[in-house]
Amino acid sequence: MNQDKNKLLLYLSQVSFAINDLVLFLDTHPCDTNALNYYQELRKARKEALAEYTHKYGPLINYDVDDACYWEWVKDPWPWE
Amino acid sequence: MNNMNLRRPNDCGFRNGCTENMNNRNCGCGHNAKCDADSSMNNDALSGLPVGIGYVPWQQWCKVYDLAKGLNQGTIFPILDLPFYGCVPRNCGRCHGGAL
Repeated sequence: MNQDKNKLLLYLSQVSFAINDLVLFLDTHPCDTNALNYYQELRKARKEALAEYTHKYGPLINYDVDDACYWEWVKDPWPWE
Repeated sequence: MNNMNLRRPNDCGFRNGCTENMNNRNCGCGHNAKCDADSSMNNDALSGLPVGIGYVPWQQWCKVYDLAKGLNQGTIFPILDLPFYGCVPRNCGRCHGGAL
């Protein structure tokens, strides 16, 4: 698996984990502006990274399959392959 | 006025305001400074709250770890980044882990 793809996958894991942890904090601190701002920052970063991954390597999750003629999801190698 | 709950800063912490210093001498007011249970019972930050209920202090926002460290440590909050510390009562054989 090439270096870039690996790096992008790792980043997606890191940013997704941070959002998950932050959601736990926000569940009990719904008005905390620091946490809300940080959430928006991470959400944007994750969205961009996921779009980049999908563009370069195909859909990472099967909610992002764009191909209307062929179910691309089965054609591409699994993300970990 | 009944000053049962009044504890002066330098007293031994025993509820009835004993004024002897607990560190070196037996203060004579009946409490046992060497007994963990006794000293924690008399230095209870939550005294006055109903017993039998768990209390968790409110977490405040703080500077969070960078993304890589957060994933590595399993939390983005340094304050929650605590080592697993299996607690074993003091003097309980030679098993490893922490001690109460």
